[in-house]
Parts: sequence; C-alpha cells; structure tokens
Amino acid sequence: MLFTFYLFAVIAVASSLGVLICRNPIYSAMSLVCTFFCLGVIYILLNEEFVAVIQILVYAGAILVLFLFVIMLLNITPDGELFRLNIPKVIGIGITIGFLAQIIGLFLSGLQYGPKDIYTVEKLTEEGSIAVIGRLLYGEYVLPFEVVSLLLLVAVIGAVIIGKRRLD
Amino acid sequence: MLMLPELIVIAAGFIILLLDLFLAEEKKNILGTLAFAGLLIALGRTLFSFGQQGELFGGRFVVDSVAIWFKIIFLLAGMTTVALSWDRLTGKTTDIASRMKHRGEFYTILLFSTAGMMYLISSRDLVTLYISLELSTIPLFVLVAWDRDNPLCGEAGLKYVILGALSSAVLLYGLGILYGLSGSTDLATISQKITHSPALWLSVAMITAGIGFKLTLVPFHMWAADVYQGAPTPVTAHLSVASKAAGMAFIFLLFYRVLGGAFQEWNILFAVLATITMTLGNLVAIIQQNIKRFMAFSAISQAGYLIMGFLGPFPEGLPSMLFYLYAYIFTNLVVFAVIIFYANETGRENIDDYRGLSRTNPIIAGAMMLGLFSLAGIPPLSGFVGKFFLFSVASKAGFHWLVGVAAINSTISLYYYLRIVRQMYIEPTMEDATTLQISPMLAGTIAITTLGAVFFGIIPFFYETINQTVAASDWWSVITATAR
Amino acid sequence: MIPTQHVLILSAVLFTTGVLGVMLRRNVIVIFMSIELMLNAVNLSFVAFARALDSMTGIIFIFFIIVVAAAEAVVGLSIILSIYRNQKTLNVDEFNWLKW
Repeated sequence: MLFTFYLFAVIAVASSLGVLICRNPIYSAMSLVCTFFCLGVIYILLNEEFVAVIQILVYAGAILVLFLFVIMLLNITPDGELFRLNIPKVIGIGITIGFLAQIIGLFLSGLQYGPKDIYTVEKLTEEGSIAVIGRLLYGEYVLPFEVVSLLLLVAVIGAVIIGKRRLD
Repeated sequence: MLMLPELIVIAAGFIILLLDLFLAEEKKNILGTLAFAGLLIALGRTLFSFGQQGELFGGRFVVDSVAIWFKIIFLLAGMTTVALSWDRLTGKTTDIASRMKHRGEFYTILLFSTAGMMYLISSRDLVTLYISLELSTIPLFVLVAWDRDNPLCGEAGLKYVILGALSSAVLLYGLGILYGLSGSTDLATISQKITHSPALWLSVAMITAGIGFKLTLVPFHMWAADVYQGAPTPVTAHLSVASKAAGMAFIFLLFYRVLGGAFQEWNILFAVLATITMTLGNLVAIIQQNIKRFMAFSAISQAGYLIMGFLGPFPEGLPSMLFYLYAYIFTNLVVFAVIIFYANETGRENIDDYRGLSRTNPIIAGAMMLGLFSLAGIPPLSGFVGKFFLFSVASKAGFHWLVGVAAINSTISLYYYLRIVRQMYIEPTMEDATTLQISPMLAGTIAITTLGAVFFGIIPFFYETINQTVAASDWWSVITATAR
Repeated sequence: MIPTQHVLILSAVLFTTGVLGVMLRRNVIVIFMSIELMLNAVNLSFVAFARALDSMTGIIFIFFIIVVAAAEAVVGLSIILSIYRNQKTLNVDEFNWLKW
C-alpha cells in the first residue's frame, strides 16, 4: 500500500510538471487529467472512496472537459515560447521554492495536530461514509450548502453574460 | 428573523432575475428601483435589529452589533452602486461608450455579492467564511468584465480573476493548515485549541497574503491599478469600498476571534504592512495621470491607514477602524460619484481633463474638493477625525514611529489630492467646456455622500454610538478570555 | 498506514508547481489549469488532515472547494472567450493595454 502511494505520488508530481512544461495546451490538459487520476487513487488509499469518485467525476469529467472545449473552440496553437524570464519572475520563483522548502521542513519536523474527532475508519465503514457526509452536509453545514448554490447561479449568469456571442 | 436582511437581499435578486425575462425594454427602469428598494428594506431591517443578539444553525450564523455595523456598510455600498450605475444602465449618458447593458443581471449579481458579504461577517466557521468570501468575490469578477465589447474591461476582468483565484487558493491552503492544527473549523474552538508553533505562523502568513489581496495591501496590490482603471467606473467604486470592507470583516474575524489572545505577536506584522502599504500607495499616486488609476493608489494608501486599527489589543481598536471605514466609504463615494458624472457627460478620465470644472459646475467641484480634502485628512472633515482615532490607537500600542510615518504620508497625500483641486480651480477652463447637466440620481448621491463625509467628522455622536454598541458584542471578551 | 506528513509534502509540491505555472506560463488557459492544480493540492491536504484527525469536516470542506473551483473556472473561461473574440490572442504578455 505504501509502495502504491509513492508510485502514484511520483506520477502525480511528474504529470503536474507536465502541465508546467508542455508547449501544447492540450497536452497540459491531459497531464492535468493524469494528476487528477493519481490523486483519486491516493484518496482511495486514504479510505476516502467517495471523495475519489467525486474527484474523477467533477474535476476530470466536468472541469477539464470545459477546458478542453474552450481549447477546441478557440483553435489554440502550441505556444512558440514557453516562458519569458525577467527579474521579478526569477525573484518570484526563488521565493516560491524557498517557501516550499520551508513548508516541507515544517511538515517533516512534525506537526502538532489538533484533538481527534469521532469519525475513525472503522466507524465510517460501519455507518457508511456517504451517509455521514450527507447528514453533515444537510445538517450542520446546510447554511454554506445553500450559499454555495447562489455562487453557482452567479457563475452561470456571469458566463452567459460575458461569454455569449453578440446577437447582432 | 435574524437572517431577514440577507434573505430580503437574495429575494430581491431572484425577483429581478425573473422580472427581467418578462418586462419590455422600456419598462426595465423598475428593476433598478426594485434593487434599490430591496437594499433599503434590508438596511431598515438591519438598523432595526440593533441591540438584538442571536445565533442560528448551531452558532454558525451569529448576529451581533459588530456584524450589524459591517452589514450597514455593505448595504450602503450596494445602494450607492445601484444609484451610480443608474444612468449608465438606462442609457441616459451623453457619452455613448460608457453605457452598460443587461441591467437585470447586473443588479442580480450585485445583490448576490452583497448577500455574500453579509454572510461573511455573520459566519463563525471556516467553511461558511470561505464560501461567503467567494460569494462576495466571484460576482465581482463578473462585474469587472461586464462590458465585453471593451478590450480594457475584459483584460481587467482577466487579471482580476487570475490573481483573485490565485490568492483564494493561497488563503485556502492557510485555512487548511489552521484546520489541521486545531482539528476544527469553528472559530471559537480554533482559538482555544491552537498552540503557537511555526506552522501556525505559516498558516497566518498565507491567510494574510490571501486576504491582503482583497485589501490591496502592498505587496499584494499589483492588480488594483489595472482592475480599477479597466472596470466600469460604478464597479470600480463598489470595489474600492465594499470589497475592502469585506476584507476588513474577514481579517477582523480571523485576528480578533481566532488569534485574539496572542495579539501582541501579530502587532509588528500589521505595523510593517501598514507602513509599506501607505508609503508605496502614496508615492505611486503622485505620478498617475488617469483618475481611476490615481484613485486605485489612493485606495491602497487608505488601506494602510485602515489596518492600523488592528494594532493594539484595545477596546478602542475596532470602533476606530469601523469609524474610519464609514468616513472612507462616504468620502470615496463622493469622489467616485463626481468621476462618474464627468465620465458620463464627457467620456474623459484624465486628471488634466478636470481643469476649470469649478467655473462650469461650481457646486460639483466643491463637493469633489470636500471629498478630496477629507481623504487627505483635513480638519474638520470626517477623514481627519477617523485618522485621529486610528493614530491614537497606534500610539497607544507603542508604535510611535508608525504614527510619524503615517503623518508624513498624510502630508504627501495632501500634495497629490491638491493636484486635482488645482486643475479644477486654478488651471484655465478647457476651450469646449460648457456647464454640464447632472442627472437627479447622481446629484442626489453626491449630495448625500458629501453630507455624510462632512457631518460624520463634526458630530461626535456617531463615534460614540459605534463605541457603545460595539461594546455590547462579545468580541472583546473573546480576546481577554484567550489572552496568554 | 500512509504517513500523513508524506501526503502533506506531496500536496505542498503540487501546490508549488501550480504557483510556478501561474507565474511562468504565458498561455492564459494553462494559467487557469495551474490554479485548478493548486486547488487540488489544497484538497489533498484537507483529506490528509481529515484522516489524521478522524474528522469529517475536512471532507465537507472539499466538496465546497470543488464547487468554488468549478465556478471560478466557468467565470474565468468565459472571460477568456470574450477576450479572444476581441483580441485573437491568449498570451498574457501581449495584453498590454493596461500594464500587467
């Protein structure tokens, strides 16, 4: 199990680097799909099967398809030049890499996690994680659940207004 | 009943969206009236609920006096934006290029964004906090890119959406670490459970970076000038007040309710951010030519003053910050109302174009001058009084050098605000200048906001009211209870 | 059992790749893909924390993040569409009506 995790972790990192360095946006999108699948596998290894399913369905199945539609619609050609470095960008890269080293050092030195909750893997298999998620989503978290529906409505209206072709 | 103001705003949004489908084009003026009325009723209900405290959804939605003060700001900003965009959406402007289309959807999205901000200040757990922050931001992405035929507008929208999504991802990573360290998303539980560790610092740094973007704190300000310039001007006005107030609400919830007990440790972070924000904003504002870009840098430096209210763990900190926020929104909206009036009639947006305005439209030029003087902090206008309270908070917290820097910055800002006053009053009138007709909507907005900007400073009653009502909330006892 | 730290490190590496993508790439669509990558990295860290804490709140958070990611992608891509109609380019360095 540990080996599977490391294998898919390496593939995920490699394909995420693929997003970064592919000249053709379609190849970038495909590498991103690969990353999403690897993350899905890792979620299954972490006993979160429902999240894995949603990950594949929504990210790979919906959001990435949207990206691919736009790429096809706009008939995009591969980028001639991948990056153009200038001094601010180099400084930005330096800060980002430094930050990453900092975060990794922190995580390796051991985090002090908060107190444990009641939802152990055994309890979740007994009750069914989907049942627990559903109860929480429509019980404790019903307010953000309703608010997020407004957010989707706004996104739909906005996409129609901005993306629509001119009528005349 | 506690949630009634939010529900009224959302209901008004849905009614407008539906009516927009059935109304004929010439009858659509009623949509603007509806949007304004919805916000006004919600404002009345909010004012009426002063003194009430309570919670819904098991403490996930709390109304207290602090929340009410913030909600009034959001509602006022929404109402003013409806008034400011009226002429552009109804096509009554002389300058054809500044007209805007799709008014039904415009009002709906504006109202939903306002509702998101109102949920933001009332929420007490990270999930609701994050979702309502996004509900207040994503509609603004749409509003900034509203005029799709204008390349500048699309470009501003693109920059805003890229940097906005980037900053929200950084913020989210910080929230994730906070969740891992405390095991909870409830703000009160987090404040009890967190222990001080480097990981907490990391999470706070990422959250500050993410929210600094909304507040236009330097070094997260780089989007502001472009977005302010490219967006339709009523949207720019909305961004400069409502979005900033939402950022202040978020940072208040995080730093007072979650990290309140360890306040001394965050002090220096805010002092440094305030210093570089106001200094850089002021210095860059001097060289701007476009008035919307100019106002962007002015807004950046004002954000630097605003976060001075977070310096000390004092009971005066929050009332001073709220008072300055009120003074700032009224004053800023005076200036934006005049900018919109001038752009509607002539289509001009450069500082040089304002020359001789005092001779063609003396009253409007006078209002603009009052607004600019209040932004610069000249007594007895409200901007001065607000700055006075903030500076006293900073000096009480022991940051005397910061008060000195802020005073120097106020002087610099006086110089560049006077640049516009000089164009209006001293420079010769433009050749083709005639007296411009002002629409009743804009005239009313300018009148009301100017009165607000002047009288908040003169009448001490207002600050006293904020001070007393805010004391009824539990925010201060939260800090003292968790203080170490 | 998979060590939580290693999952967190994986999420940090993916997040950094996303940040670098936003900073370096010049194609707007790839920039948006990098933002999706960052949000996925955040999701991974939420799952790791939720497992380490035996808590479901992190899992609930993920569903909301997915919705927000979708909404951001929709709005961003529609802005890209309208810009492409006006300007026929998707290279951020060529958008210089306003200074970047």
